[in-house]
Amino acid sequence: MNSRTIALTIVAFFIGVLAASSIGVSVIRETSAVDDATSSPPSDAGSLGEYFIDPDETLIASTALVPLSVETAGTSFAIEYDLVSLAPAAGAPSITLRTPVGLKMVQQDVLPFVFPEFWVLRTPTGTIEGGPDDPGDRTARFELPAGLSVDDVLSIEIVDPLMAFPMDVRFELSDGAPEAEPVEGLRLELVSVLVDRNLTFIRVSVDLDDPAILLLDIEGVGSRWLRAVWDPDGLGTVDLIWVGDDPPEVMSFRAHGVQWIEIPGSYPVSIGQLP
Amino acid sequence: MSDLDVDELPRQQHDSDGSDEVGWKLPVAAAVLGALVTATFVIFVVVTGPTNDTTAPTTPAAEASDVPDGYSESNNDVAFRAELLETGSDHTTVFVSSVAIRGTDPVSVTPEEAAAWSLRSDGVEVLAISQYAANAAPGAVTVEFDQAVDPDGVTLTMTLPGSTETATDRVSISSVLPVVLNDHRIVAEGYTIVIDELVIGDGWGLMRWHLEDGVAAKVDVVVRFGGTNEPSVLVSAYSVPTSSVAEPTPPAPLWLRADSVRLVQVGAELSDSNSPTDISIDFSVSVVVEPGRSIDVPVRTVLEP
Repeated sequence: MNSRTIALTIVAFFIGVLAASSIGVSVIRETSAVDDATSSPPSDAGSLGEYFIDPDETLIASTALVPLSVETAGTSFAIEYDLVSLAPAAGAPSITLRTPVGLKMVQQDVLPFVFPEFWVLRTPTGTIEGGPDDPGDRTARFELPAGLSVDDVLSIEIVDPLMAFPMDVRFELSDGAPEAEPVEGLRLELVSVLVDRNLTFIRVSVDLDDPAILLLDIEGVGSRWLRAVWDPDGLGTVDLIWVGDDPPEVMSFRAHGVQWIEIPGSYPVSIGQLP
Repeated sequence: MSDLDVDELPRQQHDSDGSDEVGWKLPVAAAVLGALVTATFVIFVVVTGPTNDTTAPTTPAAEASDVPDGYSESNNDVAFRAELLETGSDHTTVFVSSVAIRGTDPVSVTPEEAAAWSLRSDGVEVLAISQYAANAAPGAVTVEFDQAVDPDGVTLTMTLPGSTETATDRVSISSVLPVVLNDHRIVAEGYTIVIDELVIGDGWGLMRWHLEDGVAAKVDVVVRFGGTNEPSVLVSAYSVPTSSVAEPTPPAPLWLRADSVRLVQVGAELSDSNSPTDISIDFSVSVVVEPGRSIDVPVRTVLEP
């Protein structure tokens, strides 16, 4: 092989590189454009940024609301979600959940600490309201007007959610004033007073608005009250038992437990990555 | 002049071994090799990325958080935020939530408890009169103040217990029921807890106490009826595990400056055939000796009357 051949070989190698490069650069540029299109941000306003459970979570107090799926059927649109409590709960006992339809023992981790009752969808033509049916429901439902689809939804927000907080209030009942409403949605009424030997049974009826207070106990204020006894059939009455002589004319009671508190404000929800 | 033999002409005019000729096979192979090398590089770039620096920037990916926005850490495991502050004409209520942070499992984290709460507004500080929790709302606490506050620029501060000490005290009394004990004082680490009233009956009782000075305290009591045929005691209602869905257990009180505790009977009922010959009362008091760290807790929403 002579020097001319060697030189020509080297030149030919670089000619091959240049020729292939001109094609390769075009290919790289085209694939870059495709990557840009697929990595564009989701169109709805979600809780982007920091997260605890899921990048698409909405943190409401100590509960993370995590969208799970989106379903559409005609004009119906539903978002299924999960509620994950981040509240420290070591040592929390099983509690009795007293509902108007009866008493049941529930484990701590199944309690609904948040009730995101009102959701608002914003579209180019206005807003659509929806939400779950009750605190135990985990699906927010909406009816879209004719002509709109899920793709028209600009943003989703939860507005003024209800949160479970401890409650401890005092109230009084007497023959002259047999009714009391110590907190909104909790109404108590003196039903009867029965004396049996040295015990006086004061029966009080309890009426709750929806959503019902999660947990409710009532006890007499003072020294001569025994533990209250609730109707185990869940008919909404409680017997408060006084020991000894006649109870006071105006009887003081204490209602404590867990109540729903409405927290003003809006919380954006992200469903951009859901199938 | 003689004719020259062509064969005798100088050889330098001819390449008699073929070294002057150009081999085309090798350059062609080199060109192909160069193209293959380049193609391999292009394929590698396309498959692995990253793309060209001149592409438009994308939204940063969400990052796992140690502490949620708007929360204040109380320790390595728990952070707090006040979800709502409601101020009325003569009182203020604050609803506070807490979360387990730094990736800890919430069911393994014990709820943090404040020894005291205060509100500061317009240079005025108001101390909380009560705080309470509930078994069905772990990590949540409701704090009560007996004054209204100016919500503009209000600051909520929680003070951790810091160091605490426990002291016990026993009182023996006659067995004639009902029994009333008034103004009984217990001193723990220089702090005085006053038992304003302890009323003991046949299967019932009530204790009221207050802390004379200091930050906060907790008081518990057990009343033992001696000499009975079958054991019978009175204990605080919150210390009795729920035995029936019809008689649930109230939550244990938090750090307070005053409280009243209802007592319930455990064991056999007292009767003529099971009557006590003596009564012993065992008090257990815990006091905050040195307050711990004070933390400003963010308030998310304020509601005025």
